[in-house]
Amino acid sequence: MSNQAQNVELANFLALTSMTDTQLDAYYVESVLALQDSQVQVAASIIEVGSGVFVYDWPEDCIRILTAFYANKELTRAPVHQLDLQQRDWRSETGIPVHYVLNHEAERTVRLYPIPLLDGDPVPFPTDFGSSYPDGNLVLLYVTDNLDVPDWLDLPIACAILAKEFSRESSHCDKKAAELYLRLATVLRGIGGPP
Amino acid sequence: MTTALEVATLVLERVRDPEGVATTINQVYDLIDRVQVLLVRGLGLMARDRTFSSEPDQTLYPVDPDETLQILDLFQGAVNRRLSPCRWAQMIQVRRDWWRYSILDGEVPETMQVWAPVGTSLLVMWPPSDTFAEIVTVREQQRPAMVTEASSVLDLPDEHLPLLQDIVEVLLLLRTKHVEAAEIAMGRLEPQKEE
Repeated sequence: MSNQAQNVELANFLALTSMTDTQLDAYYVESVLALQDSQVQVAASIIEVGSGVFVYDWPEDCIRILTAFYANKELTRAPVHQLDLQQRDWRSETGIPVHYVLNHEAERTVRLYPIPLLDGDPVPFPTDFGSSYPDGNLVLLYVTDNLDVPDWLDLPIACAILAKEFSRESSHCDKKAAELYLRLATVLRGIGGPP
Repeated sequence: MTTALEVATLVLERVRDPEGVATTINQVYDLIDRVQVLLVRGLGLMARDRTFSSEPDQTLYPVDPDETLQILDLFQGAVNRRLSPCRWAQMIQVRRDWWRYSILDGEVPETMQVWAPVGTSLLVMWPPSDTFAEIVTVREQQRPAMVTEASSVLDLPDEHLPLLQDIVEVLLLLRTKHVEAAEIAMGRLEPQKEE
Protein backbone atom coordinates (compact mmCIF):
# COMPACT_ATOMS: atom_id res chain seq x y z
CA MET A 1 0.00 0.00 0.00
CA SER A 2 1.16 3.53 -0.57
CA ASN A 3 -0.07 6.69 1.04
CA GLN A 4 -1.08 10.13 -0.11
CA ALA A 5 2.35 11.72 0.37
CA GLN A 6 4.07 8.97 -1.63
CA ASN A 7 1.59 9.27 -4.48
CA VAL A 8 1.78 13.05 -4.61
CA GLU A 9 5.57 12.74 -4.67
CA LEU A 10 5.25 10.33 -7.59
CA ALA A 11 3.00 12.77 -9.46
CA ASN A 12 5.49 15.58 -8.83
CA PHE A 13 8.32 13.42 -10.10
CA LEU A 14 6.42 12.49 -13.26
CA ALA A 15 5.47 16.10 -13.92
CA LEU A 16 9.02 17.45 -13.81
CA THR A 17 7.37 20.80 -13.13
CA SER A 18 7.04 22.67 -9.89
CA MET A 19 3.49 22.19 -8.67
CA THR A 20 1.77 23.03 -5.44
CA ASP A 21 1.32 19.96 -3.28
CA THR A 22 -1.94 21.37 -1.93
CA GLN A 23 -3.50 21.18 -5.37
CA LEU A 24 -2.09 17.70 -6.03
CA ASP A 25 -3.29 16.58 -2.59
CA ALA A 26 -6.81 17.69 -3.48
CA TYR A 27 -6.64 15.82 -6.80
CA TYR A 28 -5.34 12.72 -5.01
CA VAL A 29 -8.23 12.70 -2.55
CA GLU A 30 -10.67 13.26 -5.42
CA SER A 31 -9.16 10.36 -7.38
CA VAL A 32 -9.21 7.96 -4.43
CA LEU A 33 -12.79 8.84 -3.51
CA ALA A 34 -13.78 8.11 -7.10
CA LEU A 35 -12.36 4.57 -6.92
CA GLN A 36 -14.77 1.66 -6.95
CA ASP A 37 -15.68 0.16 -3.59
CA SER A 38 -13.72 -2.94 -4.54
CA GLN A 39 -10.49 -0.94 -4.73
CA VAL A 40 -10.56 0.73 -1.34
CA GLN A 41 -10.22 -0.28 2.28
CA VAL A 42 -13.39 -1.29 4.04
CA ALA A 43 -14.21 -2.19 7.62
CA ALA A 44 -17.05 -3.64 9.66
CA SER A 45 -18.07 -2.17 12.98
CA ILE A 46 -20.48 -3.51 15.60
CA ILE A 47 -22.55 -0.81 17.28
CA GLU A 48 -24.42 -1.69 20.45
CA VAL A 49 -28.15 -1.17 20.06
CA GLY A 50 -30.24 0.21 22.90
CA SER A 51 -33.96 -0.38 23.34
CA GLY A 52 -35.89 2.49 21.75
CA VAL A 53 -32.77 4.06 20.28
CA PHE A 54 -33.11 4.42 16.53
CA VAL A 55 -30.36 6.82 15.44
CA TYR A 56 -26.69 5.82 15.45
CA ASP A 57 -23.58 7.74 14.42
CA TRP A 58 -21.28 6.51 11.70
CA PRO A 59 -17.92 5.23 12.91
CA GLU A 60 -15.38 8.05 12.97
CA ASP A 61 -13.30 6.61 10.14
CA CYS A 62 -16.30 5.98 7.87
CA ILE A 63 -16.70 7.92 4.65
CA ARG A 64 -19.37 5.80 2.93
CA ILE A 65 -21.80 3.19 4.22
CA LEU A 66 -21.91 0.05 2.07
CA THR A 67 -24.63 -1.76 3.98
CA ALA A 68 -26.04 -2.38 7.45
CA PHE A 69 -27.09 -5.45 9.42
CA TYR A 70 -29.37 -5.76 12.41
CA ALA A 71 -29.02 -8.94 14.49
CA ASN A 72 -28.61 -11.66 11.87
CA LYS A 73 -30.22 -9.94 8.89
CA GLU A 74 -28.99 -7.53 6.27
CA LEU A 75 -31.09 -4.39 6.15
CA THR A 76 -32.05 -2.64 2.95
CA ARG A 77 -31.58 1.07 2.51
CA ALA A 78 -34.85 2.95 2.24
CA PRO A 79 -35.24 6.53 1.05
CA VAL A 80 -37.45 8.67 3.28
CA HIS A 81 -40.00 9.32 0.52
CA GLN A 82 -40.47 5.57 0.11
CA LEU A 83 -41.17 5.16 3.83
CA ASP A 84 -43.49 8.19 3.76
CA LEU A 85 -45.50 6.55 1.00
CA GLN A 86 -45.45 3.17 2.71
CA GLN A 87 -46.56 4.30 6.16
CA ARG A 88 -47.31 7.84 7.24
CA ASP A 89 -46.29 7.33 10.86
CA TRP A 90 -43.25 5.18 10.13
CA ARG A 91 -41.12 7.37 12.39
CA SER A 92 -42.81 6.05 15.52
CA GLU A 93 -43.27 2.44 14.44
CA THR A 94 -41.53 -0.15 16.60
CA GLY A 95 -40.42 -3.70 15.87
CA ILE A 96 -37.48 -5.54 14.36
CA PRO A 97 -35.56 -3.24 12.01
CA VAL A 98 -35.67 -4.19 8.33
CA HIS A 99 -34.55 -0.92 6.70
CA TYR A 100 -32.02 1.79 7.38
CA VAL A 101 -32.13 5.46 6.40
CA LEU A 102 -28.98 7.50 5.95
CA ASN A 103 -28.51 11.06 7.21
CA HIS A 104 -32.16 11.66 8.08
CA GLU A 105 -31.83 13.20 11.55
CA ALA A 106 -28.33 14.55 10.97
CA GLU A 107 -25.37 14.06 8.69
CA ARG A 108 -23.36 10.89 9.27
CA THR A 109 -26.15 9.02 10.99
CA VAL A 110 -28.00 5.77 10.37
CA ARG A 111 -31.64 5.52 11.40
CA LEU A 112 -33.20 2.10 11.97
CA TYR A 113 -36.76 1.39 10.88
CA PRO A 114 -38.79 0.17 12.71
CA ILE A 115 -37.43 1.29 16.07
CA PRO A 116 -35.83 -1.66 17.92
CA LEU A 117 -37.32 -2.49 21.30
CA LEU A 118 -34.61 -4.79 22.58
CA ASP A 119 -31.13 -4.13 23.92
CA GLY A 120 -28.34 -5.80 21.98
CA ASP A 121 -25.81 -8.01 23.74
CA PRO A 122 -22.85 -6.09 25.18
CA VAL A 123 -20.19 -5.60 22.50
CA PRO A 124 -16.83 -6.96 23.61
CA PHE A 125 -13.52 -5.34 22.77
CA PRO A 126 -11.94 -6.38 20.53
CA THR A 127 -15.08 -7.16 18.59
CA ASP A 128 -15.63 -10.68 17.36
CA PHE A 129 -17.46 -11.77 14.24
CA GLY A 130 -17.23 -15.47 15.17
CA SER A 131 -18.78 -17.63 17.86
CA SER A 132 -18.90 -14.90 20.50
CA TYR A 133 -20.54 -12.38 18.17
CA PRO A 134 -22.85 -10.21 20.27
CA ASP A 135 -26.37 -10.66 18.96
CA GLY A 136 -29.05 -8.02 18.46
CA ASN A 137 -26.80 -5.19 17.41
CA LEU A 138 -26.18 -2.96 14.42
CA VAL A 139 -23.26 -3.78 12.12
CA LEU A 140 -22.08 -1.27 9.55
CA LEU A 141 -19.98 -2.29 6.59
CA TYR A 142 -18.27 0.83 5.27
CA VAL A 143 -15.49 2.44 3.28
CA THR A 144 -12.86 3.85 5.61
CA ASP A 145 -11.09 7.19 5.43
CA ASN A 146 -7.79 5.39 4.95
CA LEU A 147 -6.69 6.90 1.66
CA ASP A 148 -3.79 4.50 1.12
CA VAL A 149 -4.13 2.64 -2.15
CA PRO A 150 -2.79 -0.71 -3.36
CA ASP A 151 0.62 -0.38 -5.06
CA TRP A 152 -0.78 -1.31 -8.46
CA LEU A 153 -2.94 1.84 -8.42
CA ASP A 154 -0.02 4.25 -7.84
CA LEU A 155 0.64 4.98 -11.49
CA PRO A 156 -2.98 5.17 -12.67
CA ILE A 157 -3.74 7.61 -9.87
CA ALA A 158 -0.61 9.70 -10.46
CA CYS A 159 -1.57 9.95 -14.15
CA ALA A 160 -5.13 10.93 -13.23
CA ILE A 161 -3.77 13.65 -10.93
CA LEU A 162 -1.54 15.01 -13.69
CA ALA A 163 -4.39 14.94 -16.20
CA LYS A 164 -6.30 17.27 -13.88
CA GLU A 165 -3.31 19.45 -13.08
CA PHE A 166 -2.22 19.97 -16.69
CA SER A 167 -5.74 20.78 -17.81
CA ARG A 168 -6.09 23.50 -15.16
CA GLU A 169 -5.41 27.09 -16.24
CA SER A 170 -1.93 27.78 -14.87
CA SER A 171 1.61 28.59 -15.97
CA HIS A 172 2.16 24.94 -16.84
CA CYS A 173 -1.24 24.26 -18.41
CA ASP A 174 -0.79 21.77 -21.27
CA LYS A 175 -4.03 20.39 -22.69
CA LYS A 176 -2.29 17.86 -24.91
CA ALA A 177 -0.26 16.42 -22.03
CA ALA A 178 -3.41 16.37 -19.91
CA GLU A 179 -5.23 14.36 -22.55
CA LEU A 180 -2.35 11.89 -22.81
CA TYR A 181 -2.16 11.46 -19.04
CA LEU A 182 -5.87 10.79 -18.95
CA ARG A 183 -5.57 8.18 -21.70
CA LEU A 184 -2.61 6.62 -19.94
CA ALA A 185 -4.49 6.47 -16.63
CA THR A 186 -7.33 4.65 -18.39
CA VAL A 187 -4.97 2.21 -20.10
CA LEU A 188 -3.09 1.47 -16.86
CA ARG A 189 -6.30 0.90 -14.92
CA GLY A 190 -7.42 -1.49 -17.59
CA ILE A 191 -4.12 -3.38 -17.51
CA GLY A 192 -4.03 -3.64 -13.72
CA GLY A 193 -7.71 -4.60 -13.36
CA PRO A 194 -10.17 -6.17 -13.13
CA PRO A 195 -10.84 -5.07 -9.55
CA MET B 1 15.96 -13.67 -15.94
CA THR B 2 16.17 -10.02 -16.87
CA THR B 3 17.74 -7.44 -14.62
CA ALA B 4 16.54 -3.94 -13.93
CA LEU B 5 19.72 -2.60 -15.53
CA GLU B 6 18.96 -4.31 -18.84
CA VAL B 7 15.41 -2.96 -18.98
CA ALA B 8 16.36 0.54 -17.82
CA THR B 9 19.22 0.78 -20.32
CA LEU B 10 16.96 -0.21 -23.18
CA VAL B 11 14.23 2.24 -22.23
CA LEU B 12 16.65 5.12 -21.71
CA GLU B 13 18.04 4.47 -25.19
CA ARG B 14 14.55 4.50 -26.63
CA VAL B 15 13.83 7.90 -25.13
CA ARG B 16 17.24 9.18 -26.30
CA ASP B 17 18.59 9.71 -22.83
CA PRO B 18 21.17 6.88 -22.66
CA GLU B 19 23.22 8.64 -20.00
CA GLY B 20 20.22 9.07 -17.73
CA VAL B 21 20.47 12.87 -17.66
CA ALA B 22 16.79 13.85 -17.65
CA THR B 23 15.81 10.81 -15.60
CA THR B 24 18.42 8.97 -13.57
CA ILE B 25 18.68 5.23 -13.87
CA ASN B 26 17.62 4.83 -10.23
CA GLN B 27 14.44 6.75 -10.99
CA VAL B 28 13.82 4.42 -13.92
CA TYR B 29 14.19 1.43 -11.57
CA ASP B 30 11.43 2.91 -9.44
CA LEU B 31 9.13 3.21 -12.45
CA ILE B 32 9.98 -0.33 -13.55
CA ASP B 33 9.01 -1.53 -10.07
CA ARG B 34 5.64 0.21 -10.19
CA VAL B 35 4.83 -0.97 -13.70
CA GLN B 36 5.85 -4.51 -12.80
CA VAL B 37 3.39 -4.56 -9.87
CA LEU B 38 0.62 -3.33 -12.15
CA LEU B 39 1.34 -5.98 -14.79
CA VAL B 40 1.73 -8.83 -12.31
CA ARG B 41 -1.67 -8.01 -10.87
CA GLY B 42 -3.41 -7.56 -14.20
CA LEU B 43 -1.95 -10.71 -15.71
CA GLY B 44 -2.78 -12.82 -12.66
CA LEU B 45 0.88 -13.80 -12.14
CA MET B 46 2.85 -14.77 -9.03
CA ALA B 47 0.13 -16.84 -7.43
CA ARG B 48 0.89 -18.63 -4.20
CA ASP B 49 -1.23 -20.79 -1.93
CA ARG B 50 -1.70 -19.95 1.73
CA THR B 51 -3.60 -22.12 4.14
CA PHE B 52 -5.49 -21.04 7.19
CA SER B 53 -8.24 -22.27 9.42
CA SER B 54 -11.71 -20.78 9.29
CA GLU B 55 -13.61 -20.06 12.49
CA PRO B 56 -16.97 -21.59 13.38
CA ASP B 57 -19.85 -19.20 12.77
CA GLN B 58 -17.61 -16.61 11.14
CA THR B 59 -18.39 -15.15 7.72
CA LEU B 60 -16.07 -12.16 7.60
CA TYR B 61 -12.26 -12.30 7.57
CA PRO B 62 -9.58 -9.61 7.38
CA VAL B 63 -7.19 -9.42 4.42
CA ASP B 64 -3.85 -7.63 4.56
CA PRO B 65 -3.65 -5.60 1.34
CA ASP B 66 0.10 -5.19 1.84
CA GLU B 67 0.56 -8.93 1.55
CA THR B 68 -2.07 -9.74 -1.02
CA LEU B 69 -2.32 -8.04 -4.42
CA GLN B 70 -5.49 -9.93 -5.20
CA ILE B 71 -7.25 -13.15 -4.19
CA LEU B 72 -7.65 -15.41 -7.19
CA ASP B 73 -9.34 -18.49 -5.76
CA LEU B 74 -10.39 -20.26 -2.58
CA PHE B 75 -10.38 -23.98 -1.84
CA GLN B 76 -11.92 -25.75 1.08
CA GLY B 77 -10.87 -28.84 2.99
CA ALA B 78 -8.20 -31.46 2.42
CA VAL B 79 -9.71 -32.26 -0.99
CA ASN B 80 -9.28 -28.67 -2.08
CA ARG B 81 -12.85 -28.20 -3.23
CA ARG B 82 -13.04 -24.95 -5.17
CA LEU B 83 -15.46 -22.34 -3.85
CA SER B 84 -17.32 -20.12 -6.28
CA PRO B 85 -16.50 -16.44 -6.35
CA CYS B 86 -19.41 -14.02 -6.07
CA ARG B 87 -20.18 -10.40 -5.27
CA TRP B 88 -20.90 -9.79 -1.59
CA ALA B 89 -23.72 -7.38 -2.47
CA GLN B 90 -25.60 -10.29 -4.06
CA MET B 91 -25.62 -12.33 -0.85
CA ILE B 92 -28.82 -10.67 0.35
CA GLN B 93 -30.58 -12.19 -2.66
CA VAL B 94 -29.63 -15.66 -1.42
CA ARG B 95 -30.70 -15.19 2.17
CA ARG B 96 -31.51 -12.06 4.07
CA ASP B 97 -29.89 -13.63 7.13
CA TRP B 98 -26.73 -14.67 5.25
CA TRP B 99 -24.67 -12.54 7.58
CA ARG B 100 -25.12 -14.86 10.56
CA TYR B 101 -26.36 -18.00 8.85
CA SER B 102 -24.30 -21.09 9.67
CA ILE B 103 -24.53 -24.67 8.52
CA LEU B 104 -26.02 -26.92 11.17
CA ASP B 105 -25.07 -30.59 11.48
CA GLY B 106 -26.82 -32.67 8.86
CA GLU B 107 -27.99 -29.69 6.88
CA VAL B 108 -27.50 -29.46 3.11
CA PRO B 109 -25.22 -27.96 1.91
CA GLU B 110 -22.70 -29.25 4.41
CA THR B 111 -19.81 -27.18 3.22
CA MET B 112 -18.90 -23.66 2.27
CA GLN B 113 -20.12 -22.60 -1.12
CA VAL B 114 -18.93 -19.14 -2.06
CA TRP B 115 -16.42 -16.41 -1.33
CA ALA B 116 -16.40 -12.71 -2.07
CA PRO B 117 -13.85 -9.94 -1.55
CA VAL B 118 -15.16 -6.83 0.21
CA GLY B 119 -12.94 -3.94 -0.81
CA THR B 120 -9.25 -4.66 -0.47
CA SER B 121 -9.29 -5.52 3.22
CA LEU B 122 -12.13 -7.98 3.95
CA LEU B 123 -13.19 -11.38 2.69
CA VAL B 124 -16.52 -13.18 2.96
CA MET B 125 -16.56 -17.00 3.09
CA TRP B 126 -20.06 -18.44 3.19
CA PRO B 127 -21.74 -20.29 4.74
CA PRO B 128 -19.55 -21.18 7.72
CA SER B 129 -20.03 -24.27 9.83
CA ASP B 130 -21.64 -23.59 13.19
CA THR B 131 -19.43 -26.04 15.02
CA PHE B 132 -16.06 -26.71 13.44
CA ALA B 133 -13.17 -24.91 11.83
CA GLU B 134 -12.26 -25.78 8.27
CA ILE B 135 -8.99 -25.69 6.38
CA VAL B 136 -9.12 -23.08 3.65
CA THR B 137 -6.51 -22.54 0.97
CA VAL B 138 -6.30 -19.07 -0.49
CA ARG B 139 -4.70 -18.71 -3.91
CA GLU B 140 -3.50 -15.14 -3.96
CA GLN B 141 -1.13 -12.95 -5.86
CA GLN B 142 1.89 -11.70 -4.01
CA ARG B 143 3.74 -8.52 -4.71
CA PRO B 144 6.84 -9.03 -6.87
CA ALA B 145 10.21 -8.35 -5.24
CA MET B 146 11.03 -4.65 -5.19
CA VAL B 147 13.15 -3.38 -8.06
CA THR B 148 15.66 -1.10 -6.40
CA GLU B 149 19.03 -1.55 -8.09
CA ALA B 150 20.81 -2.60 -11.25
CA SER B 151 21.05 -6.25 -10.24
CA SER B 152 17.38 -6.60 -9.24
CA VAL B 153 15.92 -9.47 -11.23
CA LEU B 154 12.42 -8.88 -12.52
CA ASP B 155 9.76 -11.41 -11.56
CA LEU B 156 7.78 -10.55 -14.67
CA PRO B 157 8.28 -13.23 -17.32
CA ASP B 158 10.29 -12.04 -20.34
CA GLU B 159 7.36 -12.31 -22.74
CA HIS B 160 5.68 -9.43 -20.92
CA LEU B 161 8.73 -7.15 -20.86
CA PRO B 162 7.87 -5.34 -24.11
CA LEU B 163 4.66 -4.08 -22.51
CA LEU B 164 6.53 -2.95 -19.40
CA GLN B 165 9.09 -1.16 -21.54
CA ASP B 166 6.38 0.56 -23.60
CA ILE B 167 4.68 1.88 -20.47
CA VAL B 168 7.90 3.18 -18.92
CA GLU B 169 8.79 4.78 -22.25
CA VAL B 170 5.51 6.72 -22.39
CA LEU B 171 5.96 7.88 -18.80
CA LEU B 172 9.48 9.12 -19.50
CA LEU B 173 8.49 10.87 -22.72
CA LEU B 174 5.62 12.63 -21.00
CA ARG B 175 7.87 13.58 -18.13
CA THR B 176 10.36 15.23 -20.45
CA LYS B 177 7.57 16.95 -22.42
CA HIS B 178 8.12 14.99 -25.62
CA VAL B 179 4.39 15.01 -26.09
CA GLU B 180 4.28 14.07 -29.77
CA ALA B 181 6.63 11.13 -29.29
CA ALA B 182 4.60 10.10 -26.22
CA GLU B 183 1.44 10.10 -28.29
CA ILE B 184 3.00 7.78 -30.87
CA ALA B 185 4.22 5.46 -28.09
CA MET B 186 0.76 5.57 -26.49
CA GLY B 187 -0.65 4.14 -29.70
CA ARG B 188 1.11 0.86 -28.89
CA LEU B 189 -0.64 0.64 -25.52
CA GLU B 190 -4.18 1.42 -26.54
CA PRO B 191 -6.42 -1.17 -28.14
CA GLN B 192 -6.70 -0.48 -31.83
CA LYS B 193 -10.15 0.48 -33.02
CA GLU B 194 -11.52 -1.55 -35.88
CA GLU B 195 -11.91 0.35 -39.14
